[in-house]
Amino acid sequence: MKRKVLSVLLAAVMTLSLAACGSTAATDGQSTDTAAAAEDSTGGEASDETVSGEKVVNVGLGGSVTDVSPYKAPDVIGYPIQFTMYETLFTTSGVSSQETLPVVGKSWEWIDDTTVSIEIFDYVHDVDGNPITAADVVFDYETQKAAATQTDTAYIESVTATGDYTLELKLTEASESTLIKLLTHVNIVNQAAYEADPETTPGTTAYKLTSYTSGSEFVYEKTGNYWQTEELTVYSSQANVDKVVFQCIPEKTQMTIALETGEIQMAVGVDGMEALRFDEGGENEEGFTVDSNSGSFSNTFIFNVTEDSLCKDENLRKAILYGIDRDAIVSIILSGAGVVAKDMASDQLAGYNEEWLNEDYYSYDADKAAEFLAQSSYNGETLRLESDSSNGALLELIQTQLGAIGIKVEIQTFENALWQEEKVAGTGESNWDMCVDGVGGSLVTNTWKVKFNPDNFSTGLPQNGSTDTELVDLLLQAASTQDPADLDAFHDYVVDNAYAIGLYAPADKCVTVDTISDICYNHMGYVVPCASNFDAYQ
Amino acid sequence: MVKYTVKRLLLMIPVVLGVTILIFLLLSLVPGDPAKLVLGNEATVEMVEMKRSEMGLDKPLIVRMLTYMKDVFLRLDFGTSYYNTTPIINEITARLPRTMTIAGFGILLTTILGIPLGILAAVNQNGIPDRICMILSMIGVALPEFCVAMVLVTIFSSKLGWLPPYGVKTWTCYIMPVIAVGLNSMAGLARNCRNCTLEAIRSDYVTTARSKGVKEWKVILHHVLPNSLIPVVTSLGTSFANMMGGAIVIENVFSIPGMGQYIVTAINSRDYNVIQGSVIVLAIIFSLIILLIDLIYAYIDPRIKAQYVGTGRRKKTQ
Repeated sequence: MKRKVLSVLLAAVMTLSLAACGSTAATDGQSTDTAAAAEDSTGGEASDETVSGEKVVNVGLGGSVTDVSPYKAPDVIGYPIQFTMYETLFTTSGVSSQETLPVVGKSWEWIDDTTVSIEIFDYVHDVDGNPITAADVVFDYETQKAAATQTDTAYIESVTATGDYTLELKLTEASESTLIKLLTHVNIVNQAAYEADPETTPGTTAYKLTSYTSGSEFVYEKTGNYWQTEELTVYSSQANVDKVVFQCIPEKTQMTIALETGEIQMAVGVDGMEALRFDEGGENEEGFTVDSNSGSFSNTFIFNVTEDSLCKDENLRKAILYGIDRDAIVSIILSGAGVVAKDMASDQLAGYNEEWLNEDYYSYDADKAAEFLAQSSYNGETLRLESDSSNGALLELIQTQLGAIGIKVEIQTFENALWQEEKVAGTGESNWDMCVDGVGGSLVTNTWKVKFNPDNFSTGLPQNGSTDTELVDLLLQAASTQDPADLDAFHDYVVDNAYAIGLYAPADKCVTVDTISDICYNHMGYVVPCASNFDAYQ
Repeated sequence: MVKYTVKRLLLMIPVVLGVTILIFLLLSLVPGDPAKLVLGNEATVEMVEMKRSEMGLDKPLIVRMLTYMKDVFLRLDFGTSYYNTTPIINEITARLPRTMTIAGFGILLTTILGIPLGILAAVNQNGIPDRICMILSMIGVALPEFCVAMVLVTIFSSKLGWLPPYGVKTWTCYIMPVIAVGLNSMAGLARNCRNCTLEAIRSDYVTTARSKGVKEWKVILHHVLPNSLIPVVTSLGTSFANMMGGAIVIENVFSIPGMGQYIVTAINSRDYNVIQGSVIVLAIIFSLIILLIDLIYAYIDPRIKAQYVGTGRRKKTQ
């Protein structure tokens, strides 16, 4: 019996040692700061200030971030970290602006229709002191293009250094909007530094990554040797805190608890319902501020207009659109954190016409819905409404609203990866009549192209399966010229034919302690925590 | 026993190879294009095709599979994620210990509390301790893990501020996750242990031991427990596997970057390399757990040990 007990104990020890091995993980940044950070933020209130009086802010992110390399695929959750660590050649003053502001790049100009000459500042260096030259910028663009994680890099024909601090970028098409995106979306790093450490390459901002636990926490400290002068430092590169700790908190209730207990002082991407607790009239409004920012994302409602669908009937489509109460959707689904859309694209995007905000854009009208329904060929059939799994509640609400005007709807949601295949009308797999699909971008035409550019779909037709050549012609014209008249023409055409409608544009909520103000949103509409106002923060 | 152990370890090789081939084939059948997911909505069909080519997805399935198996088993190279440059083996090395810590201590908690509770209930069958234990175990089985987790966070973090609500910074971060995973399986183990103990208690050898005047605690410890532990150990092995595989909920609630979170994110984004690598590693671990369970059987029950040792040999009859 004693031998048996001993054997069982030995087996238990073996199991425990298997579990405990490598707990200070190989991929995590090892630093003496890790223990200090751990002591600072275990349970109870987090310390806002270290003994030396420096300002430390803990920022909660609503998801897991595992990679901070400069050329990874776009990661909405990880953007605040990315913008703290890396800079681009240029930026703009906001999502809708196409006027560039110098960051690493000093100036640019067109040499011909497709080639630009770019000059960078000759005193740029990263946080480790490695200088940035034109050769590094060329390497960055070529590496980003080779990584193929940003679609616009496919439009780069070549990039060549013409001097120590000058280079030429040649595009495959003459498009200023594509150029702007390329100038503002590629992170700039030193080539040798990247080759030595591709996972945590030092960037050119004022902050250095001092320690991290992949998927859990990233600690950045101000170096004090930022390369740019104070006068020329662009708004999104301001360094207003000494230390920032990003904490990955996927569970939204945990984010709320973290704010309440003082574990974090800023929460990015807070759920609308949770944000209400910290807003005026909420249970936790004392000591907190909720900042709301209209982002570049919007949710669209699209009809299948192929011969297989009842929604090829324009009167039925209009009946459905008038039967959807979008104000109720914003109120119920978003808890008020958003606006009713007046186009498929968000009103924050470049090219958006302010006049669209005042037009009648299928506002809820049960009488009009009934009128169009009577004129349609609908005879009580069940229509199919689909979307990805994040829109389940929205589909239920729309189903109820359409049921109220006499239209039967069956709903179905799909996991995101499956939805990317299912959402293309006219393929062998899809059988939806209506769908809800989210979209973002920097230009309204980018949003429109995502839905109606035939090149984006294996069917060779727009997402809705339309064979309307005028629709595509108007789209390509608008995308090419960016002329307001052309943009209006496409917008009006889609509205008049009821091909699709913008449902709403959700607002991004950022909750902070009330000593943090003027939350900084960069050219992509995402929060840059360190560039916010911390004057009153202690 | 050594021979048996070595034989079982060698048998793991075809098991792991089989799992690798199976997961590769299954992933090739799953709908969803990883290239399109990486590039996003703005990508044209041409861009997606170029990305697929760069990812090697345009090659024949058998070529991809053999290349992958060669890299994994000969060079221990699991590749990188489609979304970033981090080697998968590095991420697994970092995440696996966290998941196993939660599962390991969860099993320890389950064993330390579940077995004594089950024995207590069985020895006092239909008495007050039995009824209390069974009610508690019913509640434990009925409560989902995430529900327990949120209650623990609300009480111990939000209200009392005793424990950190999330993260992996210190050992205290693991207390609540361990309790959350352990409570459910402890409840099930207590019920299982009670039933097995009751069955053993009614055996003739227990009656004989009692009639010989052996003290009750010795009867339980030396006669009842060894005979009732076999199904209980089996249950523990299953629970450990469930804790490893079902850790995603707990990891999400407590923001623990473990294997569960890693695999689910990879499945949602069709990151085939990550899925394959993680499944292979988990298959190896599960195989080792099953081997460990079988070895524990041998030490608990000499009859089973004799079977292992006598495998392949015919016993001489007299």
